[in-house]
Formats: sequence, structure tokens, C-alpha cells
Amino acid sequence: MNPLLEQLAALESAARLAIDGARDADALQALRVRFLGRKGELTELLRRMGSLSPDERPPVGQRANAIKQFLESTFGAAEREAKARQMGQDRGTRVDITLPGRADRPGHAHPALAVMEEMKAIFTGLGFSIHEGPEVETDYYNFSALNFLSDHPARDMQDTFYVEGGGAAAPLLLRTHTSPVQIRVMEAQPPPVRIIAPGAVYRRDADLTHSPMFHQVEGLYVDRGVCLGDLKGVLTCFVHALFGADVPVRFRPSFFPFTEPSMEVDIGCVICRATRGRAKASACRVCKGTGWLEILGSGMVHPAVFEAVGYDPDAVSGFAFGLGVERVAMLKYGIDDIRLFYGGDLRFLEQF
Amino acid sequence: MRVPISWLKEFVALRLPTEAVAERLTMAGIEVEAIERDGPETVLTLGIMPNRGECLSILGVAREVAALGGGRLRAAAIRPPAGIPPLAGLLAVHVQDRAGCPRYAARVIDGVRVRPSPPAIQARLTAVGIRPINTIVDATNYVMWERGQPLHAFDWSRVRGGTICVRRAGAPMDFATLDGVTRRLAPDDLVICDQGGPIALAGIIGGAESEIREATARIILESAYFLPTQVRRTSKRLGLATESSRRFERGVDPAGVVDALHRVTALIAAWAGGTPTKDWIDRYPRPRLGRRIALAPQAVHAALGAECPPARMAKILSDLGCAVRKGATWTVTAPTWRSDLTRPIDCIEEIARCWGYDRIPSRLPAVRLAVPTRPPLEALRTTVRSWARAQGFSETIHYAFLPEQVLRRFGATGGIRITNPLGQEATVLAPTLLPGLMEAVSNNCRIGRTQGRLITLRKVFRPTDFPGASEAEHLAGVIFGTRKSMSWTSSEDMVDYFDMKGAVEALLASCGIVRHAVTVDSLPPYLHPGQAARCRVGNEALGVYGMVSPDIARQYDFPVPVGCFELDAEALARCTAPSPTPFRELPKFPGVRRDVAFVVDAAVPAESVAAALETRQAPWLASVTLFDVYEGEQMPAGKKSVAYACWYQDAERTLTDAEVNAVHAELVEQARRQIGAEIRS
Repeated sequence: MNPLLEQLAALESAARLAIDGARDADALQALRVRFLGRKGELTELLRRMGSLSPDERPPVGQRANAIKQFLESTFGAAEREAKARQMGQDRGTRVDITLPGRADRPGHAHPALAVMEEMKAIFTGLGFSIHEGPEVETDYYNFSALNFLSDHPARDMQDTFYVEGGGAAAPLLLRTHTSPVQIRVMEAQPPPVRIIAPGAVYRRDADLTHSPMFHQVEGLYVDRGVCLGDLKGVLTCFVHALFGADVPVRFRPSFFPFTEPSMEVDIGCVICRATRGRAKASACRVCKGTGWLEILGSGMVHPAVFEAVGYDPDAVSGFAFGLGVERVAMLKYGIDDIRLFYGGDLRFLEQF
Repeated sequence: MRVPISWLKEFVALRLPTEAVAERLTMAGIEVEAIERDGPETVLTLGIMPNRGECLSILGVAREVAALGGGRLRAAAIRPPAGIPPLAGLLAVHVQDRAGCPRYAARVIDGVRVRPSPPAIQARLTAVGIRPINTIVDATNYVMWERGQPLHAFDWSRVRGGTICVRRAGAPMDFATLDGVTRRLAPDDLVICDQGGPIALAGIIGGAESEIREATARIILESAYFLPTQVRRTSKRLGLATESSRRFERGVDPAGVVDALHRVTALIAAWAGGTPTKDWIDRYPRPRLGRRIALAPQAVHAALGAECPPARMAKILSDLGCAVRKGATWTVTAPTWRSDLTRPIDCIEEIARCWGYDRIPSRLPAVRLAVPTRPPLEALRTTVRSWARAQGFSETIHYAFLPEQVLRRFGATGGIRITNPLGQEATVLAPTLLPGLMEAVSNNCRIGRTQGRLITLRKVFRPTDFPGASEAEHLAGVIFGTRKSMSWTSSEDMVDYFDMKGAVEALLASCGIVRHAVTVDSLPPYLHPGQAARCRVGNEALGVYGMVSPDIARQYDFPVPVGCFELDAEALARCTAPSPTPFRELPKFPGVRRDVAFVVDAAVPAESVAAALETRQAPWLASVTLFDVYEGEQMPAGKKSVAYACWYQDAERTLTDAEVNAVHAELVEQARRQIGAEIRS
């Protein structure tokens, strides 16, 4: 037998032994250099093939190539394995799969503002535009233009904060509702009008269910031939989108200076559900045993309001509505103290 | 308004159980807030809207119940009680201010005995919330509650000259009212005077001097119609609202003034004895008629979107006391007790509420579509909220008003003051959102929550030179405590300037702003002088960010480091890149990285070193990224090392090592010379 073939066989078994014993990627790299490097053992043997006769060369060449391929693939596999072990991805590594994951926790939306966004989405879906206005308002926009006559007890319905900076003729105040936006929009554009006005409002009142600052969404719809049936349809649609299509709705006469006829929109109590025959309402603290919750104030726009903005009350009609955002959030989540909405208590915010 | 059912029954023959009456009232706009049972008596508590002053009476509620089909009205025609002595010589009345007092009636009763009222009357008054006093006062209160007409009784012996004059006070003066308070009257106040001066504040309260005493034997009874706005102005100015002023400012029935006088005269004669005068005074030069309203029946249909039968419409109106003359257009004459009915729409509301809102079918309007518009800042708010959520900020709401001393901590002076604040403390509209957030951090720390991130987004206020306020939307946030919430994998590292800056940078990046400039010019006093910055993009001053000043940390007693930022949302919106930004083609050939580390004085801003590399515009240089800053043992004192990765890239081909090396070496050398740095080897 050709001595070169014997040497090749010896090299092969030595290489197998060494690779099996290699501990890590560094050791494998050293072995690769030892056998396959430019001055490696296999390379040296192959160099000596030049001294063989043409007949002897093919079998030796074939054998040498086979060994080379074997070593290449063995080193490749072993190196991949070693690398995987370093990255903890080899099949042997185990973690405690019950440990909590590693992540940056997301922040939380404010429940009242989330409800406000929900309302905005419903109304923009119905084709309403969103308008905003100043929070420091004049008496004219907040009251007079909305048919709150001066020296009329209707003004007591909204206890008002006044601020300095106005004059005796035009006192400045913190708006008590977002209704002034109605006036500003109608002054700025001809009918038709389909808008909502979300925003902060202020009233001199503070207890478990009243906050001196809270949020409202006010709406206005003006066009030719708008009637009370339209008001009922649109607001029923809104209430169903917000509270579910099975919630009972009723329209109850009320009074607001800037609408007539005026009405409160009540929904079946979402807490005791007495109006849906689920329970008796008498013990319910939220609806005080009536089975109904007041949710929206609304009505047909008063002709005096149209006159104030220069719309012709004989040509157009419309309806307006408004609701308290925090109140809806309190009902939706069963929150019983309005003060929790303000002040940023993380124990509260993180629940939403 | 409290209504005992037994009293109501005296005016309407109820044909329905109490609950059914309550339901009808509520569904017609007179909300029944409570039904209380006490022995044989049942008392309704009604919420009366400001336009329905006439329902502040048993009679008014009875009319409403009858109109709603709750039973027949018991029309008790009132007869004047007989009397003996002539009034002349006992009382003279002059109404000087006819505008303020369109009607004034009075009568004298002689020989009354002032004592407690009959127990049944006392019980009834107590049930509605009025404290029984004596026969005379109780009788006036009883008739007020029953008929809605406030009345007053004077002790005749204390009315000087037996003369009553209704006029303006004319000059500021002090007046002792019967509640034991001395009040300052204004010249415009309407007063009832005798020859010596005021004896009552018209429609609001009587004077102490002429009030009914136990010894009173001869009384003057007053029943009048005072102008609602006149009564309200005085009542508001004095901060004095009485059962009487409540009724007058809503408008009493001018036609019922004398009926009430007769009724109270009869009750006093029955309860306190005495002899009324034969006649009475009734100054009513211009009797008021019910207002006439032209109502087109089709206008009702158009407003409601439903056809209430004309006969039903007419019945509703006449049941409410209106006279209806039909025709192409109806003429509706409102009763004198319904001063709120002045326009066709008022009649339409009456028809709708009595017919029932539930009879009007709901419908959805058919409209010409238009694209809804949104406020200009709405897009930015959406961006901010999604950034906040991703960065772990929870959104908060804080009051817009703050105590003045809190604002002073933040160097804010001259804010807009609330002139009638709720408490003493919250009086100024805040020109910054940070005090609210600092308060929130402090409160959270107090309950043991010493780690968190909060953001708030709302208006701030500043005074202006012209009447009004300047309002600007701000967004502000705080980070406090450890960098990450507690976890087995995270370190206990506390937040620092770079956490705050990083969060702001991420926000700006969400708005498409890649780069912003920082300065330390005139940092506000609540920020740390060495760990905070003013932030600017182009010419827009966006706001500030950084760590809070040691002063603020001490004042709030923060147990952990606190960082904060406050930006002007409108300025940020103006800087926000218009989306979409154009697409840049992906590189076809690989880039090459070369690193360099400079050793510079510790005080040299890293940004100036980066600028020295970037502004050279070396060929193929695509980007420069700072990847290490080192100060410490390996460095000479007062020096630091800043290391940058420079990426070279060409769009047309793969760059060779040799050409990149040459360009990089040239760049590094030029930059080194510019900044006077050493190259770290």
C-alpha cells in the first residue's frame, strides 16, 4: 500500500479523536489550523502528492479530498454547536419558564380621556366635526348668546367662577359648559352644522360627584328641517354605541335656556339593570331606586340662539346636546369618587 | 319643592295612585326626586326648573297634575272675607316705582291674637320644610306655599304715619332685616317704606322693626307683584335668597295677587281672630293680560317630526290654562301664571311634553355628506398619546387652577386670578403644567409609589394686555425613581438627565424631528442648573427638560430623583414634519465602518466633536454615531474620551479598504486639529 494512503488514514483517525475531545470554539479553531491550515497536516500531505506517479495519484487524491470534505463538515457542525452553546441555544440549556418576562411596561390611558376619545370616535363616525374653543370665556358666549337672560334664575343652574381681566361690561369667566363653542362655530360658518365640542369646563362645586373642573362633550346639529325625531334618533344611536345596543333609553322633558323643547336622556341603570328586568332597583345606590340614569342634556336649538348668531330660525332648525365625560366614565367603570380622576394616583391610573 | 299629597288633594281630585302621579309628573318635566311616607302623609319632593316658578306652589302642581290627566282640578273660587272698619284712616299706599311694583295690594286686620298655629297647620308647614312661628307668619307662609304668592305682614303700630310707600332706596343706607342682620342697601334697591324709611326689602325680607311680635294686635297684610329682575338683582347682590325672592324672581301670577290676599285674610281671621277692614287697597294701574301667541299647527308637526292630532293639541293647551282660538294659524293666549310662554316654540314644547316624548318616532337624518374636520392639534395629540403609552407614561389630569404660593415656587407670577375661588388656596390659573405633576409625584411617593412616569396635556393660561386670556396647549411629563419598574432583571439605577432627554428625543422623533438644539440660557428656577436644557428646533422654542432643581426636590421632599419636561404643543406641531416624508432608496452596496476616539477636555460638549466630524462633508461619509464616552482612571484628570463610529457608503459601488482608510485618516486629522484633541490609541 502506498505510504501516503496509510498516513492519510492515520491523520483521519487522529483528527476524529481530537475533534471529539475539543471543548469549545477556540479549540476547534486551533484544530482547523492544525489540519486544514496553510501549513496544516493535511495540506502538507497533499503537497507531497507531486512526488507520486500518475497512476498512484487518483486513489490518493480521492482519499485526501474525502478526508478534507469530512473535516470541513465536521468542523462546521462542531463550530455551529459550540457557538450555539455560547448563545445559550444548545439543546441542553434550561431556563425557569415561570420567571416574569423582561419588558418595558406600557403607560396607561386616563379613563375619562379614553371615554372622551370613544365619544369623539362615535360622532366623527356619524359625520360630526370636532371644534374647540377658549376656556376663559366672556359672559356673552357662555350665557347671553345662549339665551341665559341677565337677572334670570336660570343663571343659577351653573355656579360660575369669574376671573380677573375683563371689565364690568364684559366680565370674564371660566366656561361652565362647552356650549359657547356652538355660538362661535355658528358665527363663523353658515348652516349646515354638525359638530361636537369636547373640552374642560368649570363649576363652583366640589363633592364626591362634582368637581370644580371636569370635561364635557357638547354637540350641535343644524340644517333645514331638523326635528325632535332626528334628535331622538341620533342620540339613541350614540347611547347604544357607548353603552351597548340593548340599553334602554328614555327622553324626559327638562329645561335649558338654549334649547326648546328640552329633554334629559336617561338610560336604564347600568348598575342594577332594573329596567331590563334583571333585578329590583329599589336598593340601587347609583340610580337611587329609579332604574334610570340621567346621561345627556339635550333639546331643539332655541330660536333666540339662532337669532343671536344671525341664523334665520324660520329657515333652519337643529338640536344640541351635552354630557359629562367623567360621569360616563364613573358609570362605565363603577367609580364612586370623581376626585380620583385628578391628581395622578398611579394605583388608580394603572387599572385602565 | 315639597308637596304633601293631602294638601295636593285639596286642589285636585286625584284619580291615580301616588306612584302613577309621580311618573306622569316626571315624564312631563316636573321631576319627582323622592316620595316619602310618614304615617298617613305622603310627601313628594319635586325638582322645579327655573322657568316653572308657578310650580313652586301646591296650586301650580295641582294644575299640572290635572293637565296631565291625574284628576279634575277643584276650582275653588276665592271670595273676599267680609270686614267691618273702613281702611281709610288706617292705611295709605303710594307706589312710586310702578315699573318695579306693577301691583300692590294691602289690607288691615285689627284685634289679632298672635299665638301658635293649629297643630295640623304646624305639621303641614313642618312637612314642607318651614318652621312654624305664629299664627300670622304661619298664615303668610301657608298661603305662599299653597298659591305661590309671597306675602308679608307688618305690625301696624310700627308703621309710622300709617303710610306705605314703594320706591327705590335712593341712597345707600343700613337696614336691619328680621333675620337679625343689618344690610347695606344700594340706591337702586326696591324698598317698602313708611314715613320714616324702609320697613321691608321688596319681595325678599321684612324689617326687624315692623315684624310681628306677641303683642301685635293690628297688622297690615301685603300681597304684591314685584318685577322679577328687580328682586333678583338685590337678592344676588346681598347674597340673600328667601322662599319669597325665589318665587318673585321666577315671576308670580300678577292676576292672583288679590286672591292670595283674601285667602290669607280668611286664614288669619280663622286662626288668630280679629276683624279685617271692610275694604282693601289694590294698586294695579295696568292689569297684565296673558300673552297672545300665533301658533301654526304645521309648525308643531315640523318641529316634532310627528303629527299630534289638532284636537289633542288644543286640549293640551286648554288643560294648561291657555285660551285657544283655532284657524289657519291658532291664537293661543297663555294664562297669567305662565310667564314663560311667549313664543310659538314654548307652545310646541308644552304640546310635546304633555303628549309624551315617547310618541315621537326616532329617525336618523338623511344628510349631504361632508368630510368631518378636526382641530389642528388633534393629530399631534394622537402622536403624543401613542408615544406616551409606548414609553410607559400614564396620562393624568390636574386642575387648571393652583394656589398662588405653589406657582411662586415655579417662578410664575402674575397669573390670572379667580375672583370667587372655592377655597382660599386654588386661586390662580396655571401658566405651567408642572406644579400639578410635581404634586402627583409627591402624592405617589407618599403612598410608596416611588417609581413612575406621568404625562399631561392641556391648556395653560397667561394674562394679556387686552381683556381676555392667552391660552396655549402644553404637554408636560415627569419621570421619577428607578429607571425601570421593579423587576428581577432590572437594576436599581435611578433616572437621570439622559432618561428625560431620551424620552423627549423619542417624542420628537415620533413627530419626525431628528435633531434639536439645546441651550442653558435662562433656565427656569425649578430646573437643575447643571442637568437641564432649553430645547429648540429651528426658530421654535419648544420648551425645557431635565432634572428638577434641588430647591424643588427639597420643597416637595422627593425621596427619589425626578426629571420633567414641558413643551409648547403648538410650537411642536409647527415643527412636526409633514407626513409622509419621502422614501430614501436602500443602499445597494455595503457600507464600511471606521472608529475613532478623541481625548478632549471634560468640559467640551460632545456635540461639538461630532459636529467637527460631520461638517467636513468627507466623501462617502454617511453617518457618525457616538458609541462611547469615558472619563476615569485610564484618562488624564480633566479629560474624557469620546468614541465615534463613522460609516462610509457609496451608492454606485463597494468601497475598497484602502480608499476608505485614506479618507478616514484625513477626516480624523482635520477634526482633531479643529477641536484641539488627541487621538486615543
